[in-house]
Parts: sequence; C-alpha cells; structure tokens
Amino acid sequence: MYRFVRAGAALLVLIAVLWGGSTRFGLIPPIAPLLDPAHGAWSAAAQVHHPRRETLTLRGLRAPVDVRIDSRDVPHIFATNEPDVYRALGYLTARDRLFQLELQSRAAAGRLTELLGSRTLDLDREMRRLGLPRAAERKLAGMDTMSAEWKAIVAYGQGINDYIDGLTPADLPIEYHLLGARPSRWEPINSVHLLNRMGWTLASDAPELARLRAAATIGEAAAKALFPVASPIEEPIQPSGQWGPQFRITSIPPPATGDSATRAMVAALPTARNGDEEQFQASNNWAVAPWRTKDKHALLAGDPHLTLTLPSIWYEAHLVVPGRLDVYGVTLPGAPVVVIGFNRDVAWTFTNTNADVMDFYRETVDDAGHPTKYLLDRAWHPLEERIEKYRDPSGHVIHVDTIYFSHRGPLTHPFSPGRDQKVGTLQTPRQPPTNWMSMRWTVLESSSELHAFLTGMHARSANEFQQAMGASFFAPAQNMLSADRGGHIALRSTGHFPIRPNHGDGLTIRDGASSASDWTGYWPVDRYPQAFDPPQGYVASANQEPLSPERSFAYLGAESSFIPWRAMRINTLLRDNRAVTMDDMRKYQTDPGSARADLFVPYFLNAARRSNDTALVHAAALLARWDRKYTKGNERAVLFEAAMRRLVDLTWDELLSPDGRTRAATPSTAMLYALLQQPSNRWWDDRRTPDVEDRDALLRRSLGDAYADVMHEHGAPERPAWRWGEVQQMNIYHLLRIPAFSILGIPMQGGPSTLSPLSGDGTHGASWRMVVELGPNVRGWATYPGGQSGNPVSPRYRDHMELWERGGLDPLLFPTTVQALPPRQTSAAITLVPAEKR
Amino acid sequence: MLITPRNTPVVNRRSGKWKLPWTKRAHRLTTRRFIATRLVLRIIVVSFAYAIATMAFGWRAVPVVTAIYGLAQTWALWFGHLGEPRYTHAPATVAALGAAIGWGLVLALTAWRGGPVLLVAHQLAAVMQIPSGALFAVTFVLPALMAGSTMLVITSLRSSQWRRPYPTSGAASRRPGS
Repeated sequence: MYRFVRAGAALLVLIAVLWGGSTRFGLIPPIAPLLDPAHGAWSAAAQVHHPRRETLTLRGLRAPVDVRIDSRDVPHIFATNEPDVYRALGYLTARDRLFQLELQSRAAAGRLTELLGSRTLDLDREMRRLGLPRAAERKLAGMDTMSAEWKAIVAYGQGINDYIDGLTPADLPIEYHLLGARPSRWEPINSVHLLNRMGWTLASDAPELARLRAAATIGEAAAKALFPVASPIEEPIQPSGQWGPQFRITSIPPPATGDSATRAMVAALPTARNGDEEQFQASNNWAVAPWRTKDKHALLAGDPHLTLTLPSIWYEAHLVVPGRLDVYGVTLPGAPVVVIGFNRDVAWTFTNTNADVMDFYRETVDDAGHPTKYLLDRAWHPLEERIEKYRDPSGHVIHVDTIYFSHRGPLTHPFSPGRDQKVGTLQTPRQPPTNWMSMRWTVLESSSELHAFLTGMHARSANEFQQAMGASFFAPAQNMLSADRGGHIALRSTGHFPIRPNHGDGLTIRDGASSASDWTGYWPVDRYPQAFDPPQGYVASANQEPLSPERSFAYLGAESSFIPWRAMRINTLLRDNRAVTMDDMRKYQTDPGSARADLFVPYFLNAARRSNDTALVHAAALLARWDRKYTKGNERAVLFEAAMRRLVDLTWDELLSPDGRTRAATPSTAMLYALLQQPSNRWWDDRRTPDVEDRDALLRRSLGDAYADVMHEHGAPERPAWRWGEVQQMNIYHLLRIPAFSILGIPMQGGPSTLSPLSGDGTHGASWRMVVELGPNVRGWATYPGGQSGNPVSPRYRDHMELWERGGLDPLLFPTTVQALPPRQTSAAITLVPAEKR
Repeated sequence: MLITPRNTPVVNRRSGKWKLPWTKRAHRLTTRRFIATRLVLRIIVVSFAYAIATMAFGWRAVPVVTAIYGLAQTWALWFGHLGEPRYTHAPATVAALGAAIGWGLVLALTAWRGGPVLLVAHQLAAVMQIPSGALFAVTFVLPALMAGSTMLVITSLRSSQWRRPYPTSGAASRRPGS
C-alpha cells in the first residue's frame, strides 16, 4: 500500500513539475525551457564567443564572400557583387542583433502585441492609427522589383532568414528565452517599416498643436507671438553672411483669454509632444574646408542624437564590392544601407531638419459615429476603411480598430486627455466622436529613401552625394552634410517640404471640405536650405532654423521646432579656429560650453546685484564663479539649471492648466530670452502673487528659490552632491527596458543645450560620433554607446561605452582588401559560401 | 561477467566469514566501501548521461533518461542473473543527484569554454528579481525534481513485481553487506 501511495505522490510531483515547468504563467515564461542549461537562457553564455575561423553556407549567394571581423567586432564584408554583400550583411546583422531586428520591425509595424502581449497594445494602436503599416505596404507595392533597392532588401532579408533557419534553441538570443518566444521570419516590408519608424521618430512634430493649445489659454495674439514661425535668435544652417547670431526680438503681447472655439478644437486634437523636449532633439554635424584645417584636408564630424538603446541603434559595417562599392559606416539593423559613413571619396552625416511636414484638416463626415464618406468640394467621397486586428502571442485577437482614410491620410477623432505624448498617441474615445480630423504627413507619402541611400553610398563627390539624396530622399527631412577628398563641403536640408495653399504656414487647422486646403506641391530642390563651399570655410547644423525667414521659399517649420544654442556654440568654436584638427573636431563633439548659459547667467547676476537678501547674494556669488561649463565635476551648473527651471515655471504661469499641474504648452528658451529683453512685459508678473513683478523680481525669485531647492536636495554647496555628474546622468535602457541589461546612472559631460546635450531623464544622447578626414586616404574615427553584440552578457555588448563616456573616438579600420586587415586586428574570419556549391 | 545466483548469501551471518572464494569476492561489490565507490561512479556516469542528453535534446531529456535508466535497472533486476547491476542503492536519489550534477556539468562546460556563466546568473537573477544563488538552486532543483520523481514512480511500481522470478525474499531485497 505504501508503495502505491509513494508512486502516486511521486507521479503527482512529476506531473506538477512537467506541467508547471512547461507552462507560461502570465509574464513568467515556461521555467523548464528557460533554465535548460544547454538550450535555455543559460545558453547566452555559450553564445559569447564565435570561432576564429568559420565557413558557413548561405543560400542564394552567387559567389563566396570573405568576412573579417576586426578588433572592434566590425565586419568587413568583401563580396564580388552587391546582392551578395547585402545578403552577408543581413546574415551578420541577424547573428549579432536578431532580437533587435524583430522588436524594432514589430514596433514599426504595430505588431508588438504578438510578441509582448496586451501591455504594448497602445503602442501598436498608435502606429497603425497613424497609418504607418498601410504606408509601408503601399511603398513596398510601389517598388520596382527590378530595382537595385528591391534586390538589396530581398537579399538582405534572405541573409537574415538564412540565419534564422539555421538556429537551434541554443542559439536564440536571451530575450526570446525570457519571453518564451521564437523568432519570426523576416519580410522585405520590415525594412520599409523601419524607415517609416525613423520618420515617426524624427518628423512627427506638429507645432500647430502647441500653438493651438496656447491660444486656447492665452489668446491668439499672445500664442502667435510666443510660438512664432521665425526664431528670435538666428544663426541658420544656410549661412546668411552674418558673423555671429542675429537677434530678432519682437514685442510679445500680454496674455489674454482664449476663445471657446479654439478650446473646442484643442479638445479634438491628439495630445502633442511636450514643448520641454527641445533639449532632447539634438544632433550636430559640421564640416570644415581644407583651408581652415591644419592638415589642409576637409574634415567632417557628425553625431546624431537619439533615444539611446541597448543594443545600440546602429550596427557598424564595412561593405566592399571591388570596383563598385567600398563604404564604411553605420547601418540601421533592418535596412541594407550605410546610413551615415564614408567611402573612398566622400563622407556624410545627418541632423534632423525638424521641418513641419504634418498638417491637420477638419473633416465633415456623413456619420460621426461610423463614417463612410467625407465631404470634399460639395461632393461626398468614400472613406477607405481598414480593419486592424491586434493579436496576442497565442494568436488570439485582443483588440480591433477601424481606421478611416481620406485622400489626405488617416482620420483621427477626439481623444480622452492623457499625459503628454507624441502626436498621434491615440486613446479610445469615451464618447462617440463628433469632430473628425484628417492628417497629411510626408512620411506616409510614396518615397524611395532606400534608393537614395544606395545611390548616395556610391557617390564620388560631396555634390554627387547631395544630388543623389535630393533626387530620392523625401522623409524624414534631414540636414545632409557631405565632404569629399577634393576639399568640397556641402550641406543641404533635404526632404519633401510641403507648399501650403497661398504660401501659408502649417500652424493652422484647415477646412478639409475644400480641396483648396490641400498642399499644392513640394519645394523645388534648388530652393532647399543649402550651402556648397561657403566663403566662411565651414558649414554646421545643430537642429537650428535652416534659413533666414527672408530667404525662405515658403514656410518650413515653426520656431518651437528649432534650437539655436548648439549651433551658436559650434559656430563660435569653428569661427575661432583657423587650423582645425581631427582632435579639435572630436573635442567639440563633447564640448561642455553652453551659449544658453552665456546669455542667461548675466541676467540673473544683474538682477541679484540689487538685492540685500543674504541667501540670494550667496547664490549669485556661486553663480558668478561658474565657468558656464557642464563638466562632470562642475559644482555650479546644478544651481543655474534649477534657476532656469524655476524661471520657466514662474514666467509661463499663465499657460498653466486650472489645476496648476501642467502647461498647455511651453515656449522655447529662445523665446524666454526674447522676453528678457522686455523687462516690464506683463508676462513677468506671477498672477499667483498679489505683487506685480517685473523681470528682475522674477529672476531674483527664481535664483533664490533655486538656491533653497538645491540646498534642500543636495546639501551645502561644498558637498559632492552638487557635482553635475552626480545630478544629471545618462541612462541607456535595453530595448525591453530590463534594468539588468541596461546601463544606468552614467555621469557624463554635457548639459541642456551643450553640443552633447544631457537633460531630463538622460535617455537621449549621441548615438554615433564620427570624425572623417578627407585626405589622400580617407580616415575615420568613431564610436557609439554600446557595442556590436546584442547579447547582454557578451563583452561586445558594451565594450564601446567607456570610450564613448569620456568623449574618445576609435580609429576605424578601412582596409582595401581582405589581406590589408592586419592579422593582430582581426578577431575572426568567416567565409560564406553558396549553399549549392559547398 | 560473474554469474551468481541472486539469492546466494554473500557473508555467513553467524561466522561473518566470506562464503565465496576470494576470486569471486573480488568481483562482487559487497563491502560498504565498494558500495560507496559504486554509488559515486554510478552518479558520475548518470550525470554525464544527463548532461549529454540535455545538450542533445534539451530539458525534456531528463525524465526520458530517468525512465530509460529506471527501466534498465528493472530489466537488470529482472534478469539480474544475467549481469550487473544487481542492486541499486537509493535509485531516486542517484537520479536526482545525477540530473542536478548533469546540468551543473553543462554549465561548467560552458564556463570552461569561456562563457560568462556567473554574469548570466547575475543578470538573469536580476531579471527574475531573485538572488543569483537562488537561480542556481532553481536550475539544479528542477532537474533533480524531474529525475527523482520519475525514478520514484518507476521504482515504486516495479517493486511490487520485480521479485516474481525469485520466490524467496532475502539478499536481493536486502541491503548487501547488512
């Protein structure tokens, strides 16, 4: 009897262990396969090292491909034809970044729920309701299957799929084990999704929303003045002949009361990007003509700033097809092109133009609850209806959306108020929609960015590169900088810039019932903001206003989208140096100086001079001793930043919501500087106090409050807690925001509005820093945060971090042949052979 | 291979002397030391079997290997007169220990090849919000539970039948050397 009891008990335990071990419980994946030491999460340890010599088969290759992995883990791919080089790139990218490929393409396609479940439903709905997956399908359908870009994405995808097909559970990235998932096969459309996603990241600014929200609170006139088209501080991308920044200060009308019609319209609009984000969008590029450099070779520098992730946004590679292609740089995992880099003749890099390329229209529909038609020129036109189904990892439909499209783009409707998010963060309406808006956006239009990149990679001169991009690159608009071995430098803001009816701006919501409201075309390329070999001997862009308003062909974007501070700083540095070296360029990329601090600090000091308040005098003395630099050990930057935050809060109190928690919109710091020139403007009065304050009173109060706050939070000024590196740190999260796979709390040099900006939650930063010297032999130096590997336990996951943190750059190996790569700098050799021939 | 009737007493209980000549005694693992040695050897062999099977077939190999091992023992006991082993000491414990050690061997092999096992443990434990030690413990307890319970089922079921060919109870069911 005892034996049977024992057998029964043991059987129960066995069943419990087998069932429990292989069953998912909510977010917890099946524990037995997860902890399998050979095929589960532990296998991440075994994936760290690749053999030094490998011969691998790849389907579809036309000829063998030689790959050398250098000491920085960068693959140098030597193929005999271009499809083979992209196929090999796809294979190697998948080997290093498979999970990233899948996650990013799913995010762009609005299919994250299929991998991560319902917690990502809002993100997926956002993508689909913006019409991005539909646009990708249309772009792919419009591609010529005989074109080079089609062949490239197909070959690249085949390379990825070849890797996926050969995977065993032991080869799966650790994230798949944690999710209990398997990789899905790669489709060519994923490459298009990713480029669309980049458009969403870089070109979803809708300044009309901020202005409208402000108008609803402070009235039309004040809103127009605080959210103008032209920047009050101007040092444009296209040099205007001026030697330094130009200030255009206009009088700012006092706050009034918003009208009810505007308030109703605001309620019908999606929530917009928070105006305080200006410091996050921050990329730089500049090039110096040979006559201004020490070695008399053109120099180019670029550091695109994005939301940093681990694994890194970029995958570094060198692609060689002798006689046809020899290009080095960073690729976006999922796209078979070098986005930023150099070849044997030309180097190029981008910053974001921040053009306003998204407009809204009030639509009249036949049925507010379930529209089928919309009114256009007094006739009803059918709306395209698209049913979007969202599935969970088991394939069950968890949500269904019906999305309507007019000829302009997707229709949106009133949304329940939410936290400040990017445009198009849509939430389920709590009541049937009444006001429908349609949206037109260049990112959704047919385009051929892949073609532009593929052609640009083959360019032989800076001008040729600009021609290639100008012909095919439509969105997101970028300030494209190029320099060549011939000593030419060129910068052009390239992309589709819409022309509004009557050359109007994009800051109004137009009537959708009339086709006269539609865009009438795009800017001609020759009117794009541009500079080819300007007399000043350098060109620079840092997300500032591209053109002086008087030179502008039409409306390009609003002041709130452009930031002058970094451009002012880099132009100052370049103006002052007539023998620029590569090392100067490197140092400038992390320069701790701030044009913003240079302009604002004197106002605080002057205001405090007239005070007898001991604490304020002490605070002013501390600020006066500040060198206005954001180095890690600096102990005064924290006081200035606290004072600036307080000044913003006190000045723009009229824009606060009735509950006093959120602002309808926040004018830029450039506008705040413009207001400083108007000391008795009524905007300086804090309505919440009985006194009527002027500028200096508010500056004094800001500094005094800031001093008290910092003392309260960090102790006495002599304490290490005042050090900038202790206060503001960089946080680089893993794609799934798993803290163990992230690098958090990195003290860095840089602050708001420095060339390497650091602010807010510290998640934005230089995603790639590169300097290229265009001498007889092109030489490059670069680094990026993270490493080539996507495996969090690999030393290659974060091996570039230390160099990146201290602003260093690695010399890049740019061998002409396989044999030219020194053996001591070769970590592995891979031969890829056609599957049929092995 | 030594062929000895299964129910032959090994030691004379009264005199305590060997009943078999030394040539035969040498081949029989009857002393405690030999039993211990044999137990250790068995655990090692079983551990390697679990390690190899897990590397080849994954975690599901653990109950399968245990089942094969248990059935093989049953078979050996059933036809004990044909060969070794003739007695299995604490088979469930051997299986459980073997499975745990087998998984440990796989991790050790990974570490020996340069894989950062401790780093994986640290990061994985952080993801799961448990101490690294607990992660190792779970990793070893899991196969032990699978193997131990599988073996217990098999031994419990077989113990009601395995004596059938041997009409007398005695040494076969008794601990050798006791």
